[in-house]
Amino acid sequence: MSVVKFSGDTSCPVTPHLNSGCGFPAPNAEIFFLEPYTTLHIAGMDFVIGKTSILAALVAIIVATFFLAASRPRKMVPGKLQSLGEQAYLFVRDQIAREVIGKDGDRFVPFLGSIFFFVWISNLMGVIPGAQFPIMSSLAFPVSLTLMVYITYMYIGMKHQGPIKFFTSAMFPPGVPKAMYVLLAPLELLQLVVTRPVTQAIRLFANMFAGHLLLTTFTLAAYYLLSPSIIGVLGSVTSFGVTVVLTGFEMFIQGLQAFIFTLLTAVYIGGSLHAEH
Amino acid sequence: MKADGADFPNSDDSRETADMAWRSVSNLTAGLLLYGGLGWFLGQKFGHQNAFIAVGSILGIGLALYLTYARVSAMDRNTTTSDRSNDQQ
Repeated sequence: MSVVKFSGDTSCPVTPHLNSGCGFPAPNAEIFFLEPYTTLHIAGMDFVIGKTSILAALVAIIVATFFLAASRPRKMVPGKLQSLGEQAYLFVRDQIAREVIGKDGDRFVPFLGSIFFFVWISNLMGVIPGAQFPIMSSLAFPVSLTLMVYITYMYIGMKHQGPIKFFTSAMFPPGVPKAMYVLLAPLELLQLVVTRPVTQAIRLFANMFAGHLLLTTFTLAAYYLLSPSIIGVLGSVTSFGVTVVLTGFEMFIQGLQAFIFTLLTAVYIGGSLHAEH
Repeated sequence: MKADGADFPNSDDSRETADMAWRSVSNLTAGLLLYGGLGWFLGQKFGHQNAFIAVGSILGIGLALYLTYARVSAMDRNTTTSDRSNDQQ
């Protein structure tokens, strides 16, 4: 029996096959660090132009163009594009803004809508042939979005409730014995200031990261195992089948995570507008 | 504006429910970080690091769970009260 070479062996190709005698190249975090195409030096800062940043710009253009095109020739009897745009707008307004924030929700619909559709289409890039990279699996993107959300609800909270009451209403929850506040108030403060934004960003990032890793593993396995033997055919067909099923599942998760991210944004904005009672 | 009540469901309730569900995760993380971290710090000062970290982490998780329980109970009380006042109307 021939010795199976480690897939990291330099004599192995990047995507080896079973017949090459190389081990299965299980994908790891390296697949998320794509080679930059070029680096621009502007005002002493490095701007890396790579697949991720180009895809992100493309998504921004797609989302903006769609909504501009859908809303430009506004007619009383809407055409197909306009009614699709209206459906999209109404979904964010009724299911997220009004449902969670209430009467004041309408003025946040543009913000929430931009976040929802940007995140959703960015996630969808993970399964679109040719792109096949979910932008939100690059930690910088969920972190930047979360920072925008964080600054927004912190500002709104301090403006509407006053800087002190905003923090005290979160730190001293109702229905708790006064003595417990000594232990619970610092916990709630840390929750409000640190872990809330961190979990919001990581939840989106980790879901997209794991989904992409899973899809890559089964796609590679389908190719790696494909060979004229029973185990090869069975293994390859099974891996391919799993890839197809997982792609469908991943598309569901992509929509769900975009929805959850936007819903949480609305929850936090709503919480900042209306103090707990 | 037409029928406000129909257009704007009880947003306070749905927000609090959604907030509660997701908040428990960040509360657990905060509890673990804060009191586990405090345990680590005390361990650095007085030795017995493992024991301090273990006690701190369990205390943090326990407090976070208690907080979730207290908030849900408070929410339940509010809902029951508002249900009752709706029935009386």
